[in-house]
Amino acid sequence: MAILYESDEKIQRLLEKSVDCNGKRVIDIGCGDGQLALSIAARTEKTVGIDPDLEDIKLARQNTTATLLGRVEFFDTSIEDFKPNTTSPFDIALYLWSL
Amino acid sequence: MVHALKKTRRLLIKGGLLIEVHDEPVSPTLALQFRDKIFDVGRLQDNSGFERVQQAAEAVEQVNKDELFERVESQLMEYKIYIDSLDSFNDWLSRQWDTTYIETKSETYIRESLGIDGFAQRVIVSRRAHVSILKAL
Repeated sequence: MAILYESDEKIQRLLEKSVDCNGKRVIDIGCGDGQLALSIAARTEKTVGIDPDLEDIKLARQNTTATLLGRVEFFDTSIEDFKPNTTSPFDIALYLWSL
Repeated sequence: MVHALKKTRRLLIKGGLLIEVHDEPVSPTLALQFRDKIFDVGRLQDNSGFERVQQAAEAVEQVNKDELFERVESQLMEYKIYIDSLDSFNDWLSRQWDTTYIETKSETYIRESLGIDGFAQRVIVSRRAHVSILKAL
C-alpha cells in the first residue's frame, strides 16, 4: 500500500537547480512529517521545521537520524506563534503547499 | 496569509529567498493504469476549497506590491500522485479538503477497478502547482 508523490522529487530538483541550500539557514514552514527538511538538512548550516500538527512533528523528530541532530530542529507551532530561539535570521523560507 | 508572509519576511535576511508552492485552482484529473495503458476516469471536484488556493496566490501578490518581496522566478509544475490500492486511495481522499468529492459514477468505477477483482494497478492523479521564488527586500 503506497502513495507516491512525484511532487517530492520535482521539488528536490527545483531546490537543487534554483535555490542553493548549501551552508544556509533554512526554515520549512508547514513541514508536516519533516520529509523535505530531513532530506536537505545535511547540506544546510541549520534547518528548522515548524508545523502546528504535534503528531507530524513527533514523526519528524522520530525520523531524525543521529547524524542530523543539532543540524535540524522541529517545533509544533504556527508561523504566527513561532519564536526562534536564536537571533540569526534565515536565508531561505519554504512554504510548500502550506500557506 | 499576508500576515504569515510578513512574519516570514522578518525571519529572513535581506536578499533571502522564499519559495512558495500552491496547487492551481483547477480540478485535478483522475486516471486508472493497467500495465502501460491509461484510462481517464474524470476529475476531482471541489466547491470551495479552491478559494484557499486563490487566497494564497493573492497573498503572494500582495507582499510583492507592498515591496516586502520581489518575485525572481515563477513557474508551473505539473506532477502526478500514484496510488496503488483502494485503501491508499481512501486514505488519500480523506486527506483532501472537506469540500472535495468525486462524482459517484467515477468513484464507483475507481473502487471497482482497484478492488480485488478489478483490472487497474493504480490511480493516477494529475495536478498542476504554481511555484514562486521571491527575494526578501
